[in-house]
Amino acid sequence: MHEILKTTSGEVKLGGEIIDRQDRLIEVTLVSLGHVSEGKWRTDSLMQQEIFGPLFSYIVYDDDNLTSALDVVKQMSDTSLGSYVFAEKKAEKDLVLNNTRSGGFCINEAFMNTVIAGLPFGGVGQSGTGAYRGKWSVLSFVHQRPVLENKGAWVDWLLSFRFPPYLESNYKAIKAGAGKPSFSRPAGQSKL
Amino acid sequence: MPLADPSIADTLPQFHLTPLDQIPTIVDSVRNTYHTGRTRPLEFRINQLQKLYYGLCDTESIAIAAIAADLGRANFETSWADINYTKSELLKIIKSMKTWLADEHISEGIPWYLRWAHQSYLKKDPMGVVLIIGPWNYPWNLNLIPFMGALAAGNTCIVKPSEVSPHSSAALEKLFEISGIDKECYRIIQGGVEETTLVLKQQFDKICYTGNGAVGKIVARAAAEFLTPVMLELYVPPPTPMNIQRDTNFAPQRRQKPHHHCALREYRPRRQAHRLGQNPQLWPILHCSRLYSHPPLPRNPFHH
Repeated sequence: MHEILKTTSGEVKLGGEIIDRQDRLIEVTLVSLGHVSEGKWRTDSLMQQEIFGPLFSYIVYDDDNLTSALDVVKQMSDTSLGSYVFAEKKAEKDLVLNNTRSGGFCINEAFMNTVIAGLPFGGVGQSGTGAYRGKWSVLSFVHQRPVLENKGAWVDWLLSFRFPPYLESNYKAIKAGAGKPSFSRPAGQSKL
Repeated sequence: MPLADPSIADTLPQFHLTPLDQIPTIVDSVRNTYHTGRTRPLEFRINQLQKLYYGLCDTESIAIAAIAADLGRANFETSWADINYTKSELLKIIKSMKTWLADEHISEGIPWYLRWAHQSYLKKDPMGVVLIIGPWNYPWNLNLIPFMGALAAGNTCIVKPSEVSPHSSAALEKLFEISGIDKECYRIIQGGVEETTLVLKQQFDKICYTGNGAVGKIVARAAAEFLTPVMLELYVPPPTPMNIQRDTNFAPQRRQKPHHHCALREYRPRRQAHRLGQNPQLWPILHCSRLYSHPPLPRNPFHH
């Protein structure tokens, strides 16, 4: 973490001191990576690796240009384990929710989606595959094995169209079994 | 006092690497136990989870001290995120696993006039031997919650906690020992890169890895050798667009209380219908009468 702080191109706004190496204590540290348009975030050490500590970096975007922030999100951590939005306007929440992807998502909250046992916790893309917690913990380690039991010998007779000889009536039976559409041919598609 | 007394570190359980030559034997023995069918009965699994629960209670102080020795984390945070959260998950699993693991009746695709004679359902079978490779940041939470899931599902299980947090990993081994869960079904292998590489050369039926993408790829590659499915939880930093206006309260949704009573009233009858459907002997009646269908999802209670 010390290494990351030493090499960052951002400006430390708060904290930045290591209090005690022995006890692994570090100050809460806030680093500004400037405005989106400056592009510092593309190469900065804070954006390259995992940080398991109280180091926060932030990038400023213009109030009327949330999409520029979403571009950063898409380029730097497109499929993160979680992503969060803090906003009051529904339009903004929806814009972020519908234009990003991540394992989990919180609105005006951070991280708490992972402690709700009813919600599966897991990633997507680069942040992994599969999910667990609560019900999903059990279902993730289960093979859902389909079982079919035939309880009546006459069913074999009823479904005898499966067996040879393949007569015209067999074809009729499977054709009837496929069902009929409830919609007509979509406009613009011509019949072959 | 935010941190545990560092001197307690000397009294904590010691971290010992599992000898390399024992690893294949351990995996084999756990696989053999799976094939004996010991973990199949639900009662056995519930009993094991109950033992684990009281084991968690008994090792609480060891866990707090061990995690503090490894990570320097405040006791409150360990107590919340690692110990009590794990306990609450465990209690929930014990309470609900019978429902989650019940056969799920499926009628879709079978004509209604055949439903009394052709019955199909999804049986929740254990996968076999599960390997869980945990991280160091939440040693209790991220090792034990997948482990509990795998145990409840009826698998035998090998846990490989992180060598980066040796005190916590040793404490985890102590937890297994103290709780008295079946040693032939559930084992811990301690080790670093060398041991893990050897573990990954063994065959498993599901591998759960929590950590980073680079190691995630190694795990997935090793699993592919045996066509083993993987569950990977990989850390990618979370982006957080924040709209900070003049005096924005960061939690506006907390002012809107959901209408709990409305949601519950609507939900109850459907849950009862669903419970009827879990009794296989009622399926023919339910389906011939065509009165029963799978309960629809409740309407979003927050949309009022």
